[in-house]
Amino acid sequence: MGAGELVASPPGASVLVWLLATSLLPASVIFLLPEQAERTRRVVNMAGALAKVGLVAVLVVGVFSGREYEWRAPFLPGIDLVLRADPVPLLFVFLSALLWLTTTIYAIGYLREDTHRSRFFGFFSLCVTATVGIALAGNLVTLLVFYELLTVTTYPLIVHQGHARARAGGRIYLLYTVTGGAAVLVGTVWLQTIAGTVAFRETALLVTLLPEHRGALTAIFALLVVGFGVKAGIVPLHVWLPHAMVAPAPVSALLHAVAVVKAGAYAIVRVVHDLYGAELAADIGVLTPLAVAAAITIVYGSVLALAQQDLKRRLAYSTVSQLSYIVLGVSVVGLTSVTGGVAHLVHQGVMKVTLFYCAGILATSLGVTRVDQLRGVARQQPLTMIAFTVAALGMIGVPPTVGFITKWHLGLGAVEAGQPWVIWILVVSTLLNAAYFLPLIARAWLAEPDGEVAAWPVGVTYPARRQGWVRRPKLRSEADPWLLLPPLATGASVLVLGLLAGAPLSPISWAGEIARELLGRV
Amino acid sequence: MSSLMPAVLWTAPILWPFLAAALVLIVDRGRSVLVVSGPVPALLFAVLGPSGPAPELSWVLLDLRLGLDPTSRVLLLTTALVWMAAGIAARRLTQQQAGPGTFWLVTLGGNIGLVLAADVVSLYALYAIMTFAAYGLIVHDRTPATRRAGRVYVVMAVVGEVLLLSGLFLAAGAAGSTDNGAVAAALAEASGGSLIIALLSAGFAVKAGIVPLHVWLPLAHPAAPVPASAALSGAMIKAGLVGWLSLLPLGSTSAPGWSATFVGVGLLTAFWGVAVGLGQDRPKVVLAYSSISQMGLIAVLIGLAFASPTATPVAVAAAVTYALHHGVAKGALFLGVGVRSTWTGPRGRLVVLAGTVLAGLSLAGAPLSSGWVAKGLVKSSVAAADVGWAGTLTWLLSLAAVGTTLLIARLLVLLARPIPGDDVAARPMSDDGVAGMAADPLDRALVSGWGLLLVATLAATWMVPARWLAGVSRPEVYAASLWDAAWPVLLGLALAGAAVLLRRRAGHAVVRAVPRVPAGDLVVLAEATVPASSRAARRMVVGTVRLRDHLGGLVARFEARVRPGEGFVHLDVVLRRWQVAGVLFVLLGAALIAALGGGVG
Amino acid sequence: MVLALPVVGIALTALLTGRARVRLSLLLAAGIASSVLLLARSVLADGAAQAVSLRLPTGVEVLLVADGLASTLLLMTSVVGFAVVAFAWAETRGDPERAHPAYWPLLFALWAGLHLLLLAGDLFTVYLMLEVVALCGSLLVTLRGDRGSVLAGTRYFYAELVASTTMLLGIALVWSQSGTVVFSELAVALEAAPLARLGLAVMTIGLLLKAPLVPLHFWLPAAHTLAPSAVSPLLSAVMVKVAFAVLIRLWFLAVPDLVTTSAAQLIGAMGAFAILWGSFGALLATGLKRLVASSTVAQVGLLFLLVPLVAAGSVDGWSGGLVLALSHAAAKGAMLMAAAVLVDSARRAGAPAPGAGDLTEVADPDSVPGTAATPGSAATPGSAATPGTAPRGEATWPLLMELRGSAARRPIAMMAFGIASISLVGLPPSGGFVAKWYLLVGSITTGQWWWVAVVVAGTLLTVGYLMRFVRPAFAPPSDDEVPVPRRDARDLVALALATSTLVLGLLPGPFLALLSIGGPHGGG
Repeated sequence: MGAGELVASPPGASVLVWLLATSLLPASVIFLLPEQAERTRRVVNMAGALAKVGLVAVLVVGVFSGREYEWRAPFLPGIDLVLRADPVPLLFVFLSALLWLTTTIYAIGYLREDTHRSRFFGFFSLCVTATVGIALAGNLVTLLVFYELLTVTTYPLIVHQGHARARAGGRIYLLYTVTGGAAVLVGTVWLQTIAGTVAFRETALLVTLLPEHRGALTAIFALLVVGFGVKAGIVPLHVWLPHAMVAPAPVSALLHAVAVVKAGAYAIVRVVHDLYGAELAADIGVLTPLAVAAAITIVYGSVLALAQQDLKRRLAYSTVSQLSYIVLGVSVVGLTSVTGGVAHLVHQGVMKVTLFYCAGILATSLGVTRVDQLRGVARQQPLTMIAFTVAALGMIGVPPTVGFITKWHLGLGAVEAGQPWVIWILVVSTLLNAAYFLPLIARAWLAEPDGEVAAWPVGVTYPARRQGWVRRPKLRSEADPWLLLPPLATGASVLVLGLLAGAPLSPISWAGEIARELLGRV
Repeated sequence: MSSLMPAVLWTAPILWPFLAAALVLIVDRGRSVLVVSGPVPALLFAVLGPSGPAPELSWVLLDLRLGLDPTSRVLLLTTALVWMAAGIAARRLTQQQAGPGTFWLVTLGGNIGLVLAADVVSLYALYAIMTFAAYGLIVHDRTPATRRAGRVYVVMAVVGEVLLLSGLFLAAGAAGSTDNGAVAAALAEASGGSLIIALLSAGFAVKAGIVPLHVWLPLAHPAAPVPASAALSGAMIKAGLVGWLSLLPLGSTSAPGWSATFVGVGLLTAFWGVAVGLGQDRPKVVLAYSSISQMGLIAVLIGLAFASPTATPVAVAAAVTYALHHGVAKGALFLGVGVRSTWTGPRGRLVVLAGTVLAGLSLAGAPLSSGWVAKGLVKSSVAAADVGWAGTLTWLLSLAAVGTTLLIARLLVLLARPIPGDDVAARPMSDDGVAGMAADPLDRALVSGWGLLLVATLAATWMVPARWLAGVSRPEVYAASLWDAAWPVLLGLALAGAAVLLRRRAGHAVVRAVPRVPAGDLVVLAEATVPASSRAARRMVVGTVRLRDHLGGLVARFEARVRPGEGFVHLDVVLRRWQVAGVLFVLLGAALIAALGGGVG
Repeated sequence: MVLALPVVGIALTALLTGRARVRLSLLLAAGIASSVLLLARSVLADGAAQAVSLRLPTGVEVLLVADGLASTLLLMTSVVGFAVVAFAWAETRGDPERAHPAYWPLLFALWAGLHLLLLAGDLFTVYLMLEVVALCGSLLVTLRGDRGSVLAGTRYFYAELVASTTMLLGIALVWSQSGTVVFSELAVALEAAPLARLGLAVMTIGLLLKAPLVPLHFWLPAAHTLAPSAVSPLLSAVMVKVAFAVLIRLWFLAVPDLVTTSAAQLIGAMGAFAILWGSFGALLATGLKRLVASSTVAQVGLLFLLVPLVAAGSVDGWSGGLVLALSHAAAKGAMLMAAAVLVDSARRAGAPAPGAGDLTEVADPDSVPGTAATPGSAATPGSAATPGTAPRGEATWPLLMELRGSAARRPIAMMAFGIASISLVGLPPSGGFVAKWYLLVGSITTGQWWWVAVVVAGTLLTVGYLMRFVRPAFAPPSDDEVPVPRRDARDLVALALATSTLVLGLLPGPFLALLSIGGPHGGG
């Protein structure tokens, strides 16, 4: 009967379904592939990723030319599974599709000699399917369904390496996220029972409920935010995040950029603005606590990052703090700050994914996993470290990177919304970020590499060939292109998206449209 | 399309340096040419370019806006000129590797851009680009000393950025616009205005090297290779002034409070620079301190601009003129130090000393030098701002000029010392490593750059201000009479001579008597406290980590809780004995019957 | 038809031998499944219960009622049954005689009994069928013939016996009061009957023992643990549901007026207790199959949460409970099959060909590392539970840690196990999620918050104990073995069964419609 619904629903619907299918089908194919079928797997993966990007492009064009995309299939009586391409989802889908593409390339290079590649790439694609589902979800139940699906499909990726630490990390991850999921479930059911609907963009309805259900609405909001906050890593629900670091680099990258943590933050955005709506949320007075929690998380995460000696763990804690920029932005209600928060969905994505790519490269090609081993790596791998440096500066918020664009909007928005205290949070976080990123950069570029260098392999080395008067950059011992190109691309985007922030389709102006629409609606 | 042409025209000065930087990375020939070409569009634009606001470029950053008014035109000229001369001088530095050239051009791009920027976002953005790129120049030769300099520089820079950013948030919030003019206007009457002004002034003061935020400067400027030092001390240091002029609410109202603050801090800086600088025995450090004291004088002028709307135009004119004149002179002096180390032998020594005397006199504002013009404008702005303490101020300013002269004298003494390569018995000049260039052979590029700046020193202020600065009349320009320009210099020279003579006589006793403050004065104290403070920081971090562990421990405790262990097992076993089960069976039956209301129905 | 085929099955499989028997069984199973499907469709089509009166030659008249409840559970039975048959077929491929000769007839007898039991329209038939089912069940348990399983089987049989006698007593009481045993007439007949509630109570306690609900679960772990792997799915997945089905039919369809809130709450409380108890048991289990069995105990408890909800007048509770029954059946069946396969492969780690399951394990119960260490303390079934001192029977199930690398060896089976786990935990998109959803809706709408807490706690505990297996499964194999991914028909059967819960989770519509037919509080 699902098919029947497909026919019934508007033509645009098929695009949404295919958007899911482009990663679902590869997943199912890959699971059946034998381990050795490297080439086939590669083809299937890339085909899926490219197809998805294409579809997203179609979607973007369609939506901006004013088309409506919606697909619904009956799930429970009175509750449908709904996929809708609203502006916010569109932004997130856009991000996931692009970063999935780069990460797939990266992962193919990264897992060359790994075992269980079929399993890995299968769940990898499933993971993305779930993410896209979360992005497009048109009501809370759909969101919940894909959210849990994400939880489950990520687990095998986290424990992929199978050693004790991996499994311990996976276990903590599951315990936390499933608990969160349970909270969300209860909240959803409760909302369903009192409101009769859990559809997004029905804020008007909830407002009518306010008089007799104020308490219930507050409790539900708390349940939902706590539930999603687990994935969004809001202190003290962030504990699982550093443990999940044991996953292979591509997974960490995807985890921290789009998939898991971002799903949490995104869900919070939707709950605040698409489910409750700014007015209602402000009315029941849940926004300030949320903002405060976010602020605490920002500082706390940065301080802990300062304490980490393991590179990936440091990045993990910086994720904890960076994610709360999003939450902070959307909970300090004001056009500018919401714009900043929503845009940071994308900005944090590109920056963090770059950092993790580079960390992965350093770990595999040079065996560098601790910050004190970074001495002089830039001489070995200048291109990698350029990407890393750009992204790190972005994290600090140095212009003209995207990080600065976010920070500017948050700060300005805070002033406009009459909450200048946020500025001091930003200041502290900037200082802390500088404190734990700049030394790394300086060490990588300036310090003399110590004894270990002898052990460093000489990677793929290209001769410095002259071509006319322009010469190829010399890749001293850079990792092979499959690994190198993704971070270069994303790193470049960190700069370009920041420089052309004013351009029509840049994340920030896109987010501006979204914010205007969100806040315009009662 | 018609709108494209002006857009290209306006962005070229900013765009070209960055483009050139990219090219430097790829090409492996003609790097030095690219470096020299960097400031050319800006130079042309400064001379020929149109005035007024540019067409908006809404795509770039958060709609980038550019603009040029008479004052900023002078500053643009200064920046471009100094960078260009330094670029010429930097040939040896830039032609071998790509790195220095890239950093050079990026810093330059930022510096030029922030002069042209007409909205706070792009102003801040380019300012930050310049700041962080300059780090690359400072740490160029990776000795421990430069690394330390770089560290101090970055710390202070980040502090400055943060002050600035938070100030800009509040300012833009108050103004409701990112336009420089709008912001400045809003600060005049905004409620939280004074806090914002404080934040912004302090933020820019870091770059301008105002005491006590100057600590990075005496370390960083000498650490960089000579041409870079020239650019930093001649051009980049003026970025602070640019910031002040474009964002502070000058001329809208009279703000005696801020006026007094700026004047006071400025004078403190001026004399501090002299006092500490005299104790240094490395030429570049002496020059760095002289820069500090000169920037102090510029701060005084800003203070005068605050004093009353009537004083503002002339005070601002004085400030930019002073910036121009100090820029070229200081650039020339720095390059001179470099020339000294490459053009050895008595002849070279003579030439260098002559050039230094020339630039130095102008810096001290000797009659008929370009500095004299600046002095004149200063005098008339003091007059225009009719403050009660005007007389004292004039006196103090002249005293500062004396100090400047003394510093120059100190520099001459140091340069006069023989260095390896002179045929005189070698006593090595202190570790003033002129990086990137061997003592021999003669670096012609360096010399020509130096020459260019010397010429500029003579010419610049005679032509520029009166012609370009609207509302500045010639009498105001030439207000300083020969005498009151001359006596400070003479006094200074006399004192210097006395000191030299004394030294000849009494030998080292005097030398020891002179207090020696290490370069970067206050930072040394700060660094002394580093262990303690870092310990404190570590304690904080550790505390947080403990908190973290505590939170993480929840998981462990969860496990612990669901492991009641053997007790449960045994209980389960017991439960599954026949007898127990039977009893329970009956009991439950009874319970159910009771629950269901029993047989009585 | 639904009844005839199994009966035929009994006869034929008893007579035939060899390959033919297996093939035929497959055929029959398919037939049964499809016939049940047809029945369900027709019931769904005309949206009302269908009643047939079956006149046996002896002159006794048996009333068969196929209402929503019956046909839903029939569906469950036949799907799992079919899967089990397929599994057994896959297990005995190559050498059909591996299976115990009595296996097939007993299987079909059990099946027939279940069907009749579910369809039966009167208490007496129900009683008879309960006996039949109990007998077949316990015999199947003993099939392996080693000491442990025989003991477990007899133990199981005794328990059932006690239960059914109690049941009979209750029936007698009711009959004496009302003069009828037909469900549809009870309600009217018991209007003014003083002892009716007593009878109901007695029957209930009997059924609770059958179900079994903690603390009456003493017989379950041993029986389910020691049964052959082609039987235990049937036990854990289906058998535990039938008593439950009878109970709710009795309470909410036959005599809803006699039900009191306090009684409902009591049963609910027992259910909650069962959830915690079973989960703890599972958390402490050292063997995989013990873990699964304990989880059955817990899930049964969850099942019984339906009672207080429906008693409070929530139809959602009804749907929730029944969907849970369905999804749990599929999930648990699949899980047990997958477990069997994984254990098998763990044993034969490195062996060239994947061998048959433990229908043939009888030969060498001591083939597992670590078995030697465990004393044969199976002599006293009571202690059959003590972890560590596992009786020989259980010892043929390796400890969890010995299952390292399962994921690498049998990806498909592991996948099946994973999907089943998802459904047990109640994560979307699985039947378990739908069930949990409705249970929550039920408890919230009827304002019984404590059940919400119970359900959530159950969820978390379930994750907890399933992790105990999943974690080692993803570990690399302990010794220097290089795991070779293998699969055979059994993996696929398990996977198919597991996937059915996803179907239930993605398109719950028709099922919800079906099970509400003839449900409580109107609706036919």
